[in-house]
Amino acid sequence: MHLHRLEKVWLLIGIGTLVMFLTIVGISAFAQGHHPPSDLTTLDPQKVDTTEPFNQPGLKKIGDNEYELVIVSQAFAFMPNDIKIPEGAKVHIIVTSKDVVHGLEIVGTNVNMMVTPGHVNSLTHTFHKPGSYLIICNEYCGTGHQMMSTKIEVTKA
Amino acid sequence: MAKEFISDKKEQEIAQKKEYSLFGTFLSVLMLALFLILSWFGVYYLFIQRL
Ligand SMILES: [Cu+2]
Repeated sequence: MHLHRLEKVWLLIGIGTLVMFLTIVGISAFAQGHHPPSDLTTLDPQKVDTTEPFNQPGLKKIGDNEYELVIVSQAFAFMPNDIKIPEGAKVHIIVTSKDVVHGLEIVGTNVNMMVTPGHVNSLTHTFHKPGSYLIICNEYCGTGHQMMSTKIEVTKA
Repeated sequence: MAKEFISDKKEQEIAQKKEYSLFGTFLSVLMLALFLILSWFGVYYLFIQRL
């Protein structure tokens, strides 16, 4: 097969990009342990209220400026409602759903999770800047979906 | 008539052997590559900013 010289060049660029992409994904997944934001823990969605740690949603201090934030989502609200976190705190967010699929996004941060019933999802985020952070549900979950939001207040240390 | 036909065929062969210039196409491909690479870095920059 005859290929034009320039055709060979852009084919090489394309193949090179593919090899580079797969190498980066491979190293980050297998050597560095990166994975999509999802937890492998499961629970009975009908027994959320009696299952640890979701029987007590809220903020728990677990270390030096390190917290565990347990959130329960249901149509159309997040529990707890008002969350106050000190500036610079490292927060492990743990969330599940009692009914349908919800989303948990903290606007302006990398926190963006899918919350599926029967599954626990978790993510760690450090709040560097004080201020008000909006939490929204970004998976359509029913007629009240647009009202499903809450706020995190990050207070000056 | 017959002579003319042969010379036509010869010209066709010559035209087929000649390589077309693909420089414009090549430039377009490189521009697309640049756009993709810049988008990747843009997304990565956003991720780093929001850490
Ligand atoms: Cu929702």
